[in-house]
Order: sequence, then structure tokens, then C-alpha cells
Amino acid sequence: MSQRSYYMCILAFLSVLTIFLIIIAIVRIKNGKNAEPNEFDERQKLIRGESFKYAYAILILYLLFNSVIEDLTGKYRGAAGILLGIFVSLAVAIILCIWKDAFFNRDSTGKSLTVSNIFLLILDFYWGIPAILDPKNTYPYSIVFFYAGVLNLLILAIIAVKSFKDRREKDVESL
Amino acid sequence: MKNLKLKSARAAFDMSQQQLADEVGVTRQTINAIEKGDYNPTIRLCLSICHTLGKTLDELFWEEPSEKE
Repeated sequence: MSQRSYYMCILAFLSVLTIFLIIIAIVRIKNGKNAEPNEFDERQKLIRGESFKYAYAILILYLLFNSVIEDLTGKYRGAAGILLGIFVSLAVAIILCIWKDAFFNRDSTGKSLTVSNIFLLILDFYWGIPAILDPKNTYPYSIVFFYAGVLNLLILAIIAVKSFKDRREKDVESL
Repeated sequence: MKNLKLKSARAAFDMSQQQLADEVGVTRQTINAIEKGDYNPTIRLCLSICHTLGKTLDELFWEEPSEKE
């Protein structure tokens, strides 16, 4: 696969994803009051807002550091470098929300997230590890997959620790 | 500041945190955070909890100025 067709595939995937998200947004706006109500309680909404605030700040800081380091070293990673920053800031928001019990709503058990994360983890490492091991790899996005996999692993670890902590809290509370 | 009044009122009703949370429409962790004093609920949630437990706002959420310090 040539480099051009590689990037075209990524662009096509992102376009389809964007169109899909726009359709969902239109449907939800159209349904208005009949749409499924937000199941997050007031405390969770506050924490989610705070988490996104920190994630945004981290993204800005990352982009500043990234641009300075790229200028100093002369190695420009382009969109791949920015994508990594987005993954890091998203991971920060997700981890903060999970740790403060604001990621899952009342009706969610987190199982679907765990399963999808494991699936993504496998894909990330499948694409990312060969890129790390092959010095001749010229696709910058491949290395980003490896880092995304590491962040996914961290998220899964946080979910596991939190589930254990919650279970202990429930047991203590029921005594 | 821990909210022991809420905890004892809930215990008097023989309700778990999960049960109270389900009644008022929040998560168990939110009730836990309120009881531990880690979260100050809105007046709406306070009223909802009071109605569920059959208590007044004063009985569950009032704090004397000396307690607050």
C-alpha cells in the first residue's frame, strides 16, 4: 500500500465517522424532549466538566511543548504528533471521570467500555508494536497506535482498580 | 464535614446507599460523597432526599457555624 493510499484510507475513515456523528447529533436534536434524558447526576456532570477542563489545558500545554520540541529537534511529526496530544488529553479526561465515579451513568456497568477497550488495545498493539520495532517504518500514525495502546492499558487498569475499590466500599457499607 | 445525620436517617429507614440513590435518582457514589462530606448537593437533591427519608432540610443538612469551622 502506498503512503498516499494509506492516508486516503485514514481520511475516508474519519469522514465516515464524522458523518455518522453528525447524523446522531441531528437525530438527537430532532427528538428534542423525547430524547433519552442525560443519566448523569449533578455531581457527575460537575466532575465531567472539570475533567474536560483539565484535559483541554493539558492538550494546549502538549501542543505548545510539541511545537517547541519539534522546532528544536527538527523532527516534524505533523498530524501524528497532534493526534498523540488528543489521545493523551482524552485519556486524562477519561481517567479522571472514571476515578471520580463520573464516567458511567446509573444504568451502565462499564462492561461494554471494558470490552471495547480491550478490542482497541489489541488493535493498537497489533498496529503499533511492529512500528516501534521496525526502524524503517515511515508511517507516523503507526507509532501513535502504540502510545494509544499504552493509554488504553492505563484506562483498563484504572477501571479494574476502581471496580475493586467500589466493591469493597459496597461491602463495608452493607456491614 | 461528614453528614452523619443523613447516614443515621438512612439507617433508620433501613435503606442502603444504593436504595436511597435509586429513589432520588443519583448514583450510589453521590450519596456516599454527600455522607462523607465530599460533595455539597444542590437544594433540589437535598429536598429529594428529605422527601424520601421524611425529614426536613434542617434535620438532615443544617450545620451550626461552629461545626462548619
